[in-house]
Amino acid sequence: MDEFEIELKQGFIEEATQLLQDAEQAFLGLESRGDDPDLLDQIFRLAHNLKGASRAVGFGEIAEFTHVLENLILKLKEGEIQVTAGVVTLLLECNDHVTHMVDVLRDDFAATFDSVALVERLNGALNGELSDEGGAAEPEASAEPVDEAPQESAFAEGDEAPSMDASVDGDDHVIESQPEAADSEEAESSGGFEDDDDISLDAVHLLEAEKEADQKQLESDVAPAPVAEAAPAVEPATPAAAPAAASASNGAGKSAPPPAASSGGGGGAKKPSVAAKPEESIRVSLNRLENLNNFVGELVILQSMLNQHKEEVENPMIVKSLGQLEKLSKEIHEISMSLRMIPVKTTLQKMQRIVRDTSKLLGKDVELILRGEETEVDKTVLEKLGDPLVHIVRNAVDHGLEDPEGRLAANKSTKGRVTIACMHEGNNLVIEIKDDGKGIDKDRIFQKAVEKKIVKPDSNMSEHDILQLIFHPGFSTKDQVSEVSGRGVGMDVVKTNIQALSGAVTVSTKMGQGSVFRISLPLTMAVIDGMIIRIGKEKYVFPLSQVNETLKPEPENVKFVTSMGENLNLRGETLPIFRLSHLLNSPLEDRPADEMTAVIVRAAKQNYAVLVDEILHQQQVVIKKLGQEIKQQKGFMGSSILGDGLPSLIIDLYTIIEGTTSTRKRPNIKPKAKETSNLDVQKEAA
Amino acid sequence: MSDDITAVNNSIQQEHEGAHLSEERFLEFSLGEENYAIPLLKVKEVIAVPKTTPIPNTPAHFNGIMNLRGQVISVMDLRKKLNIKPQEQSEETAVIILDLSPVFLGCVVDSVNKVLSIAKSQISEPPEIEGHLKIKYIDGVYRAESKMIVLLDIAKALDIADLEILKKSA
Repeated sequence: MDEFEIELKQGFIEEATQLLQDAEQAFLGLESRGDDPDLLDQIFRLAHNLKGASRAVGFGEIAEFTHVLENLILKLKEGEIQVTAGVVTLLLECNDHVTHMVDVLRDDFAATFDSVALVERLNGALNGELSDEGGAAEPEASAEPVDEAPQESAFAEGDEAPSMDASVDGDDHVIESQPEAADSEEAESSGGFEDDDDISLDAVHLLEAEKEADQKQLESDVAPAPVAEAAPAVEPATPAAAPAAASASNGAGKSAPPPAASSGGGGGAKKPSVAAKPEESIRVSLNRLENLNNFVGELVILQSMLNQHKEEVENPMIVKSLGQLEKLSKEIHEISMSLRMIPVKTTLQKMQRIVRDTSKLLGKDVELILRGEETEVDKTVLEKLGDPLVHIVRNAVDHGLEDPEGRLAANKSTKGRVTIACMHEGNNLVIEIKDDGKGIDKDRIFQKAVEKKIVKPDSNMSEHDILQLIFHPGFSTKDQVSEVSGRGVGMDVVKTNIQALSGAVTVSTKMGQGSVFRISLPLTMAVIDGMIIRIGKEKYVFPLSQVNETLKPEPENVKFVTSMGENLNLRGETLPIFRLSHLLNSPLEDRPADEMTAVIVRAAKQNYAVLVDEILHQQQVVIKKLGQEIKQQKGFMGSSILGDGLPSLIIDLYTIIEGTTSTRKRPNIKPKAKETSNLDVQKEAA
Repeated sequence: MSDDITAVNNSIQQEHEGAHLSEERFLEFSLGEENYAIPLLKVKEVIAVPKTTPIPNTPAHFNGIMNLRGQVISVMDLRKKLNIKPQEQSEETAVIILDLSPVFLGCVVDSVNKVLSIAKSQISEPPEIEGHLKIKYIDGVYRAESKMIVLLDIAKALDIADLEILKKSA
């Protein structure tokens, strides 16, 4: 296989992955809007694209399979078969199958698959065996507007010289014509822009040209990629309009619906004219981005080194240039960081499927509402967010929402509702997962925790603390392990994963009204707020997000106990003390604790104080990955190059004490009882 | 010294561009009194000894991490690793940046000598010594005039063994 072919196939796999994601969304959409002709149209395009593209690059099996699938979709589109829950399930299974094929092909271009069973079921469905489950609306009537669309925009066909009237008319179509509102006369008579009177004529021309391109696309039935198709047509038609492209798409963007997510074109026949001009984008490998970020990081470091010597420079020209350079590098830094940011949409949309499958399994009727899908977050953060979200969402459907009878009894609509909302709060991404179910029964949680010996029966715990127990490993209120939940692993995973991202998760609840899980994450893993500390001559970085507070310990608050090491009395709370120099096995001489600074850490497993010589300052640090040769070492998040040009290690305060705790008594046991035997030692002998 | 390094780095560039295909080229360097060589393709560049930040809980031959134009790279002392008595630190002391993709490593050597072109036929097998398994990292031996140059499998000599040590200490 030559390189070109490999490249083609890899390109296809990338494209197919996107197409399949879109298709899944569309299939799920069918369930609620089975009669939406635009949706069916979109699905048909997606399937057709997939078939064409896979055949073109020589993945015959995908092509054959999608061909059968396409037949079914065609019948759905033409209304010969009705959209029922059964059909949707079958479609989703087909989607899974193709996704699986693409996944396998990614690693092995020669892989073969067994699609017989599904093809048989598809054929069965084609013969009407599935469709008698009934229940869906008639798609026939609503298919018409789509067909009419080409005629409405007759001006585009007629190649007439672009007059103002005609083009305004054209614009109107582009902007106003929604899939459902296909009334051409009304659109024409309203005439002109409503919001953007000042849009340039050139831009108008461009839009018109787009329209024309769109027209061609329609004529050629289903084009593989609307964007690609439209582009060449636009340029020859209005070369002068090219510079106005940006303003045109901006203008259109204001009143037009947001570009459809699909790369296979928008829903209706007319939508592509809007969707065909989203912000232009190119694909760049993550490697190259990281390369760029590395160099920009270096630039920022150099800049800060320059700044340190700014005062020594006398030449005013140089001083001025330095200031400008600083501004520039700041901008470049911001832009390069934002390049890694992608919308949370893809991950959130996967939740649709989770909710659907889980609720089907449990016999519940659940609606998932997504808000703030366009909120952007660093790619690596997003990747690690998937698992925790799945657990929380599943949990909400299983534990949170009542079954239909229960909901009726509680005077709620039978349809449960789960809302996922994303937003930015300062430098954090916040995700709230809300259900309108029965809420979390704190007494039951406490009782279960006592049963499982996680807490003592006489513990006096605040409501907040009791709720946090659900994140405890092994905790579950379910008595029976089911397919969906009950093993007590899920919430533990949530907490661990979120903490690994330097984030936090909290839960609040109202009995009878539902619960809210709130995840708060730093926007990017590439830059964090760091606290630069010193022990001996070495500098280390603590992630600021892991630092709860810092203090100078008073001598009377630090006690040494042989079996427990040093302990700090923090306003009545006893915290074990770890000396950073001990944790790092550094040969430094120990100093009395009250000459040092204590950094208080509150981690999921343990609260503790870590002693350092000095806190130098706080700054944003760029995280550099450590090489594989030292990655195995626990306790380090990576390294960062500080202002002196030397790398420093970033210490993960949540994991660095792992392994060392075994030599200490478990902190859960109240050490206060042993206070009578405390030795008044300030200096740890070891 | 810096001229040397520039010349060596030029050769490295050429090698990566595939200029010499007929025979393999090696970078010869000294550890103590001994001469070693590694394939030039494994070398990214040669630099003067940089400042390093020590890393806790690492073996003695692990010097620490350095900043190579924004990239953080671990630096090891090949002499300590192979138990060779080092020469005094001098201007000659250099760090070879190895490209053992995906790992980049720096290793300290006493001096970087020159680039050798060696035909396959000129390389002899390392002498077998019964009961000695340690020489796994020696690929072969090349004799030039009075010198004996040991061709090193640098990944075996450094990396793999180290990964395991580090795993244990972690």
